Amino acid sequence: MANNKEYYGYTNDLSDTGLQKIAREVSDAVARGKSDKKVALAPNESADEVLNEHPTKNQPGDVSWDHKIALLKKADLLCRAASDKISQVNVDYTDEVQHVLVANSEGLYKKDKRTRGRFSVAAVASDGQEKQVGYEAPGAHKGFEFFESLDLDRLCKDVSETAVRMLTADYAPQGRMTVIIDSGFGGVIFHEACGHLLEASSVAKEATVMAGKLNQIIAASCVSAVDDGTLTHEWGSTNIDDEGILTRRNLLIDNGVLKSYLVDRLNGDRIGLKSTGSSRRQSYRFSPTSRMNNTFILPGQDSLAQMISDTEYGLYAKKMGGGSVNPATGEFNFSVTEGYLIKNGKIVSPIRGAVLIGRGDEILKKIDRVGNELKLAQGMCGAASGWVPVNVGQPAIRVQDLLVGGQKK
Amino acid sequence: MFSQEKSSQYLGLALQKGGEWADLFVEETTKNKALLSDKVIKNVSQQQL
Repeated sequence: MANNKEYYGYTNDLSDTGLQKIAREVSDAVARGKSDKKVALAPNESADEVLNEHPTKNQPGDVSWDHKIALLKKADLLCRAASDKISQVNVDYTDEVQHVLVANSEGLYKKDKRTRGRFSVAAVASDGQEKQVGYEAPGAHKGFEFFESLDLDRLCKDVSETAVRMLTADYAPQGRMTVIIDSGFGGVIFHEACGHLLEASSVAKEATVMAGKLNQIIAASCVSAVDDGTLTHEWGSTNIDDEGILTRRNLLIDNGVLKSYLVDRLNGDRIGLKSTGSSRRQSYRFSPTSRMNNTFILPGQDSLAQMISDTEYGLYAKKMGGGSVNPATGEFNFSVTEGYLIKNGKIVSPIRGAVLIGRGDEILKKIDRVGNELKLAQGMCGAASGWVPVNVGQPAIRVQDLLVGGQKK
Repeated sequence: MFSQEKSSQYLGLALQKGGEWADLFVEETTKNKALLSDKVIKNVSQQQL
């Protein structure tokens, strides 16, 4: 780094010659950038294998392919057994072991080991005319014991039943209404439309509506939110970030007030803030930048049942699907893959085709109820430094006056 | 993985013509994937980085 500019090189040639070559190439690039500042290397700290907060019991590499494939076949059978309307099942198994060394010119030298597993199940239900999909993809920062602990019966039954239930769903109404977004993957809206706006990479470029808003009110007073990279065995956790800084629990929003951004070293220098242990990258091929780990709205006081019974008319978005977000403004649209209509405080019917439309900074101020049961859900987040595993999450929240796109007036 | 001495050597090389700060990230990753689709195992792979 020179004059707040980043120079980055990578290689998979781990010979001494190959490594000296890439180091010299980076140095030449800095020289072309006319940096006039030279620093001496700081003495090394003692070598540090960081304390592993996510110990594994069973290394995935020690488990046979036959054993792993048996899990896929079992999931397929269980999905199909749940209903004769299931016409297609896809099951995806992934395990990963990543050894990391981070060293820097200030004397830091740290090693980390990250072991993760994920199991995705998608079932398609068909009634001969239409098709609907159910999908779940749990994951954890664990060894093979994660796969052994999965309740495959429940997972596959849930996936299949969701797909079948949506076959008979009516089309969603459209217009502004009260929306209850359920816990777990419902947090994807907060992640995409709010979390990304708090990343120092966007703040440094003033490419986010959240720039310059530290200590200002950005959400309803019932909203507090964190990004926590330390949660034991959680999918988005790491012991250290990809600049070697210990991850931590960062309070982002405290009762509606913006308290922190997500800061990496480079962008922190640009905006005068210290790293929050939030620097991440997909692999050595990517320069690291500020990213989320496990980002979620903290639990409040209300039960989901109470929220529903207190809602005269609205949408209960039980499961969210994909969507798109303008990273500068936080404008978003997200599909609801499993939704229900609420009338007079009761769930009356399943609906499909609903799309939630809004802006991150607006939706934060329109939250009037926060549930008391936090759930996390696993995903892969794609951005400038590649795809990284993250948890999204929240308790159920109620949002007033949210625009719902649908096919019925 | 590299020793501290080797890491320092490469960081020193990267900074020899200027700059304020440098870091080195070394990674060894093994990823196993398997996909079942329509009752058939469609893909079994091991990727090493």
